[in-house]
Amino acid sequence: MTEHLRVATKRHQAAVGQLILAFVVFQTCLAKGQCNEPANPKAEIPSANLAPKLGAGAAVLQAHAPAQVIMMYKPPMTSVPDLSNKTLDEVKSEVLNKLTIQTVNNNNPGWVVERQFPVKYSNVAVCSQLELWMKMLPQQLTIVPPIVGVPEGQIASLLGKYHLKYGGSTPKETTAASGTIFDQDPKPGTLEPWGSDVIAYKATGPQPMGPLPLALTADRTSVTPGETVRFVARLQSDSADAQYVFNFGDGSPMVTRVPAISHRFYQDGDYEVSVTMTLGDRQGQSEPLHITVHSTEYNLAVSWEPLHPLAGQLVRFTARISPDDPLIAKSSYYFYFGEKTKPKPSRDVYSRPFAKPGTYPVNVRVTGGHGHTIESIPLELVVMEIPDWWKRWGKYVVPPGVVALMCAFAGLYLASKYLTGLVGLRAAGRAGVVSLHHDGRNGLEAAFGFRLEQPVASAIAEFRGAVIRKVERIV
Amino acid sequence: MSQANLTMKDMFEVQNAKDATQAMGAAKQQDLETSQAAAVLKEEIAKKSKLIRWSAVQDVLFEKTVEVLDIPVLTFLSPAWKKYREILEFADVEKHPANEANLVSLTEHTVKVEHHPYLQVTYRGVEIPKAKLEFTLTGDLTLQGVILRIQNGKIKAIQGGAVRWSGELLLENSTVLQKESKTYDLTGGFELGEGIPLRDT
Repeated sequence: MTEHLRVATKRHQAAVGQLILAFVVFQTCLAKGQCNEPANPKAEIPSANLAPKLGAGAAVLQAHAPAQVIMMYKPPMTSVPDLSNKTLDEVKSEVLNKLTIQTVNNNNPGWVVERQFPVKYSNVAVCSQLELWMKMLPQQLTIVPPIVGVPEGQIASLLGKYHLKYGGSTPKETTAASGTIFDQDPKPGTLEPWGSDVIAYKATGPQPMGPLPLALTADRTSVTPGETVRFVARLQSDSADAQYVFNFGDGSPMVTRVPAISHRFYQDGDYEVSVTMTLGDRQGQSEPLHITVHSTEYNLAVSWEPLHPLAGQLVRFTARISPDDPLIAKSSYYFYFGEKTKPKPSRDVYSRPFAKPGTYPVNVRVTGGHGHTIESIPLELVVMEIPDWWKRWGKYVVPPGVVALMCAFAGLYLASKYLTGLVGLRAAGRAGVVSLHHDGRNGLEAAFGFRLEQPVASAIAEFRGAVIRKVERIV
Repeated sequence: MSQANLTMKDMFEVQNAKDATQAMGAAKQQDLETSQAAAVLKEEIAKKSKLIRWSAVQDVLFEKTVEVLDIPVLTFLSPAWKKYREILEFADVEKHPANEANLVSLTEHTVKVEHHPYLQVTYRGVEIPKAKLEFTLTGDLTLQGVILRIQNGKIKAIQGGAVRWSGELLLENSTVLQKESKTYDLTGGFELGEGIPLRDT
């Protein structure tokens, strides 16, 4: 009896242990709440039937004490799906009742799965933990279709099919028929994200071209007969294809492909030299350059002070002719600063301000007594901008400066008056009130009065004899 | 030479402070400055204001000295003449009715002048007692061939004659100016407007 009872007790203890194990497994499954294991008929002890069977076991223990029960839990297996590029919502629906999402890294709205663990297609137990790494949804790309030749009204719908937008047309100068779409941006075949703009280039006619800007310079403008002058034609951008026609004013035009040329003037006189340039179908002509040819070569030099004036500052120009010729020196000088109008005649010294900063050409001409025009070598005057600090603070500095200067002068004036004794005090109104400053004598006399009193004079006439010599009645 | 309104300035031949300083000379200027009144004035000025220099005061004094002489010669003549009965007789309207005019020729005579003008200095209107510069004008006016036009008891004009001065101007007891003048012709000259009454009313 005692042995029988000990065996029964041991079996009872084993049954209780298994009951506790089953309860723990059951509780774990209930706690997850995400993954419900499907019923598996192949399982040796389905968890759902575990408790009644345990109860039945207990009854057997009571009725047939020697019976032995061995229980094992074998979870069902499942294949891990490929979750790449799926959103979290998609993943949830896909792994429902299969896997438990344990961790989501980089979880942002709209992002998709970049990596997963367990890896795709691996066999794991149902309700295994799943870890995900998210990434931003990659842009969807499309190939840009060609739109050249497509009527403009249909471009938008064409691009729409490729998830692209039409950005409109931009006029561009070309040789294509005006108004046609001849190019696009981006080019056809380019991979672009969805929603990108595609711009069409529409052909426009060529713009009318203006004359080419051309400048002519000479190394000297006043020479003696037989001397050579070197001329240089300058185009804004050099072009080897340009053709130059120099007209020297002496009947010998020169056609050349080089922009620099020397010419010898033999005859005494004034010459207007100009150059015409042809580049393709475009032309340019320089302003005429005046060359004086005279047996006496005069040089007209111009200088100015200050060398680099500020905008608004008065600049003094001085023209000097050499060799000295009193007749020419007395002539009228014309100072040119790039204006189109002829300046007013002046003496050899001329002053003017330049309102705006910049570079101004300086050129002086004078008509000599012999009739030739003598011209200075063209120079350039650089007028500098007024410094920022002066612009910013000048208006604040000047008025107080003027006031301070005036005060200083007034102070000096009063000091000088004080030192020379010409400042006095003037009594004003009631006693004790003295107002400064009554100048000099006025001040003195205001404080100190000088009252002249002339009492009745005493006068006695003394006659030596008779008082009256003669009386003549006239009425 | 005819002078319509002769004053003692003419007699001393000074018209302004510059003339006065020239006429005085350095020595007499020194006398003027060292007079008691001038010393008091100098002291008072020094007390009242350090801004006023004595040289400026000196200029004023010279100018005021000239003003002392700005007194008509007639100021001395008419009181002198009125003391003589022969002349006063023409004030008698019974003898000389108002519509009667007489040219009265006086014999050569001298008018002795003594006059005491003074310059009182004040500060802010209050007299400085000691700063009183007392001048004395003394000398003789010699008159020759004077013809008075008298009518209605009044000297209406001096129609002729000549006058010259010999005398001096003193400050306290020091001579400031002294002059023997030239002769001034009175011919055609002294119209006296309403006239100078011969009798004081």
